[in-house]
Amino acid sequence: MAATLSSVHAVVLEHRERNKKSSRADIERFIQESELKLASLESQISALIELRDRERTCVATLKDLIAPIHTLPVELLPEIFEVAIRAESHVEDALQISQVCSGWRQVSHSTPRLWTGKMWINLREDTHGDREQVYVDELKAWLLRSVPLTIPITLVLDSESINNRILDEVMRTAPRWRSLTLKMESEAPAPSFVSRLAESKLNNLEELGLLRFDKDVDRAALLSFTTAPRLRKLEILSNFLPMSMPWSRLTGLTFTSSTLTVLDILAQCPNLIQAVVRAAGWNVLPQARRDILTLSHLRTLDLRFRDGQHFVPLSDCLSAPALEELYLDFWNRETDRLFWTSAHFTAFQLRAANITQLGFEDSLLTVDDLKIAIHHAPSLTHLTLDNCGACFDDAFANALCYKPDTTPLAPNLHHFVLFRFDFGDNFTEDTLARMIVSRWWTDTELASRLVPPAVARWTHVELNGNRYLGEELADMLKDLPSDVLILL
Amino acid sequence: MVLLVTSDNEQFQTEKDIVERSVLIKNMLEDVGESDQPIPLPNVSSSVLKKVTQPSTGPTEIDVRGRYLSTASTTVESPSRPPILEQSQDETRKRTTDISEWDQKFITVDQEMLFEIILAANYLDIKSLLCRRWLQDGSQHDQGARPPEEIRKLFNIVNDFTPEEEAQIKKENEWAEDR
Repeated sequence: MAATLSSVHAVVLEHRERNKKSSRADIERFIQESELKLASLESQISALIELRDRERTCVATLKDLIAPIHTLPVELLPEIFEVAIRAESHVEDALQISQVCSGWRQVSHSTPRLWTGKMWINLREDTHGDREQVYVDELKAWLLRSVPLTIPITLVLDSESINNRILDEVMRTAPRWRSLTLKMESEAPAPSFVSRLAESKLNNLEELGLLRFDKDVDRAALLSFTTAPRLRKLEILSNFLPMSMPWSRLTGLTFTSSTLTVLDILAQCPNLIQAVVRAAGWNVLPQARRDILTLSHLRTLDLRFRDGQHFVPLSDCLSAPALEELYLDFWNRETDRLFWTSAHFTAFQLRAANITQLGFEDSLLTVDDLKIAIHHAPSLTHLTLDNCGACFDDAFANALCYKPDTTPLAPNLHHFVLFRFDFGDNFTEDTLARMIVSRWWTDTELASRLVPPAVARWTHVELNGNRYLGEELADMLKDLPSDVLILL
Repeated sequence: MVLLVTSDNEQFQTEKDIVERSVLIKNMLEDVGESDQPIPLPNVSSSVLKKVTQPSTGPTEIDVRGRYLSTASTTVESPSRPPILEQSQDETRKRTTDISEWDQKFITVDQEMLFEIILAANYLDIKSLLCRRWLQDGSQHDQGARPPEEIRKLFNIVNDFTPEEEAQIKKENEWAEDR
């Protein structure tokens, strides 16, 4: 217990009074005696603190012995650890779990799958001395814990100089890379880095991301990637598209392209299952019409157009009979510049009759355009409208509204996302809420119905307006559970 | 309806779609086909089975020892459906990182029951119950694993690291911060 100010003051007064007439020699003796007393007390306190800590440890150890958590079999711990490790913070999470006790450390260190989260490794040379040693040692230890599993790696190069000790450790794991993303933020990566990449054995590489690669530097590395026997997915965001890629093996492709080459590249990828294309739209419709390109395995297509007025030269030439998800983003378009022609889109939909998920972003679609698109997607289950104010109004909401005696639009729709919208221009909170409520029933309500409703029940409704969605809307939708309705 | 018999010989009539969340029971039902025969669950007690298959009917109360009371002053909102029917974290991962109130309640007050449920979930092969985020801090959105000291305190785990291991852990954390 610490002495209070008043008790300290009292001691001062007491000793002043008592030693008023003491000689200097006496006072020096008193000081010596007091210092001895202090030393003795300090020693006793240390012993007591040690004793206290010992008893605390004793209590903790005894509690540990009977803790319910020890009823869990050791083999269940990795399952629980795995769930606790989130992708976005996997390094911190895995380390924290391994630092609880020696038992958990042993279990976690002997479970390679806990250490296979995506590693971002910056190769810059800005650590030196002891700090560099710790960095290299711990990186090495981390990478070893996932042996023999394959791992995803992202290498970031944001300066021209490379820390070769870090690079050495990373390159040792190259045969285990399942995915590799190279993020080049410097103008010119060191030639040694490129040649080492080119020499590495990428036997397990399935996914490759080349972000901001420039054509002057990377031909050797790119050639080595083409020999990776398992490469199936490629993301290349660069103005330079290498022509030596194993296009025909790819099942996933994300690329930026000019309008001239987009169809040429897709034509080389007959096995695509998923494609994300960033392209400028066509400003002038091409004179010659190409033959129809059929991508018979394509299930997901994400088209992001910039600037141009037309995208029909692409949709007119494409057939995707297995297509399930289509996302169209008319990014950065200027108002009234994009030409949407329902007839062309309908023709494309007839060649992609299995679409279940449709998404439009920054689109000038009208309500009629959207209705026609939905009408030609009879299996539609998911609809996302992001900043598409012109295609959603009260009439459209009413068309989606379920009324027992009518057949509503999109009867299978159960996942609906409306982003960046404003009430008031075309539709009201009331109409939107009524439409949403019309397609929701509790388990009990559904069980008690003799005839099931002719539309699907919502599994996900997400509304994210340009302004805060008030209490009024939340109140109108209060019957929908929070895991179904998300208001932002 | 399916008749389940617990380790303490209690019988439960449970809806088929609920019990089929258990891969073990689902497989057993597929093996025996349509039958009125009871399904024995020798590794699951009646108290555990009740907890995972039956929703509470109203506000539930728990005392500090984790016992459920019929009425009291401190109320905790009960889940609206049986825990067995809740989605697994894998299923909900894209949307939220919250720990459900049900999980939070058990982790703080009734650990014996919590671990019995985990064991039962493992035996019954119910992914949605096994794969919950027991080690995560449910107090905030987007929270990762709890810090080691908090996990130790929560579960009464003793820190048994040697000084050398402590030094190694310090280095690991330095590296993690330096990345």
